[in-house]
Amino acid sequence: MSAQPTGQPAANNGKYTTTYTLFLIAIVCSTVALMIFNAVPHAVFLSIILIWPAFASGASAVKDISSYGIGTGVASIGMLGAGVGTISAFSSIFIDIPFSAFIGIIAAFVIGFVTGLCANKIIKMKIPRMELKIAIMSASAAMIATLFVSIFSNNIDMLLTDVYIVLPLIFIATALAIIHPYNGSMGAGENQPRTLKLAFAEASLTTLLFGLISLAYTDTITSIEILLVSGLGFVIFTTIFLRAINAEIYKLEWSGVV
Amino acid sequence: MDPIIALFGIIIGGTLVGVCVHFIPCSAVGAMAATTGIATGPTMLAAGAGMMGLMAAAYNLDNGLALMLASGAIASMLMIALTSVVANITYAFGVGVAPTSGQSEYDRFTGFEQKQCLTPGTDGHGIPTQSFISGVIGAAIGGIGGALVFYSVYTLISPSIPSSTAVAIAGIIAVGIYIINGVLPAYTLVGKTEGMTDEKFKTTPKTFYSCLIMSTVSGIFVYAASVVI
Repeated sequence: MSAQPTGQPAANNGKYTTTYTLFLIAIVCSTVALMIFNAVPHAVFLSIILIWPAFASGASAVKDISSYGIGTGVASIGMLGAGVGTISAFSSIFIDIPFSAFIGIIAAFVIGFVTGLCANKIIKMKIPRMELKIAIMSASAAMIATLFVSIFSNNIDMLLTDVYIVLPLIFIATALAIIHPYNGSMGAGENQPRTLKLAFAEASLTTLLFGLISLAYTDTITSIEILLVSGLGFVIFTTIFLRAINAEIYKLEWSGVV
Repeated sequence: MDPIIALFGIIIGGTLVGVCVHFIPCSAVGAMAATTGIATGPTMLAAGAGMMGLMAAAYNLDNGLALMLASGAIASMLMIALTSVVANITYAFGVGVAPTSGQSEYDRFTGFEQKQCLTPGTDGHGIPTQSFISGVIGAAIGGIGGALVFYSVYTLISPSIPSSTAVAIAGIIAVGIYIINGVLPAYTLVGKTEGMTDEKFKTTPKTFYSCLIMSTVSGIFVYAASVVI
């Protein structure tokens, strides 16, 4: 097995945030985001801002697992996490008790943990704490999927029949937003702060996409709120990310290709 | 279908999906014609074949389980067969190498000698007959597994929502289960396999137990969410 630890990146200028810390922030923020949306639907812009840490938490978990050199691509591990997260989130729609959305998130964590346990104990991947990392990735994906199914359905506990059309899109967009920050940054000079900056930029871009879709399902004010806050977030995070790149690269030469 | 039988359908289907990955010859290194197999990751290839099977299976939803499983299997087999043929055309006329196994002296089905076509320094290239047949068998297993998961999930959720919605949600949940069970075998294969003739085929029991546990946990949650709670 190619579980060769490359070591936690030391060259992070002391700014390394553990995935567990990010996950705790994501849990608190996502819970508040869902509660805000449930209580005051027109404060959806706050929910959108509060869901971004879930993207960062998922992306950090992908980075932690992938940096050990797994036997398949970064995309596969992210798809696994997103798969567990979204099937739990979509299945929780059918649970007929209040706040069933949270059951989906807990189930994603449990199923993700069992997947990691199988990978580490039966397949013998021997990646330290892989169980927890997959569980974190799955729960993060479930938080994202749950919020957007709730926004499109205008309700935290039920699914509008029309919303089923966008479920595959929620699945793949969530997966890509979790996978790509590490996949796009990986290499010798990769470091967590920059990867997380890209994660936030992609998170806001993903919520921008969902904002466009929400025009078909929600009232115009809600959609405009999502679009504005996501657009603003995308501009800010992309600027921060590009500044980080410019500060860390040796030299930037214009090749004239684009 | 009884909900309990549907639960077992998810478990059996999910496990079949996991096992099918061991049959499909694939390798990312194949892109450089440096090893035998289709040039992509096992998960992506299995997921591609699985989704093809699910789509074909969904068309036969009203025609009974047997026809559904058959159409799922045939669609997946077609997908893998066509991908293999196109890959071989590219290898033969684009890269200029013959489909060769890097692990077998002779092809198990045609008896053709493999070593004389092997480029030095590589671990095979293209999809030789033994890998092609293995891939098609794997696709059939995966297609049946995927269709079984789809039908079982559909049976569980269809009483509570309209049929068209149930088909879509069952489809995406089945894709999710397909991807989870497709990734786990990829870890035992470490990214590349020649199919059932590969040495790594002996690791199939590990995949079997992992996918059995995974499918059981996922299946129980889907069952509990849609029937019990």
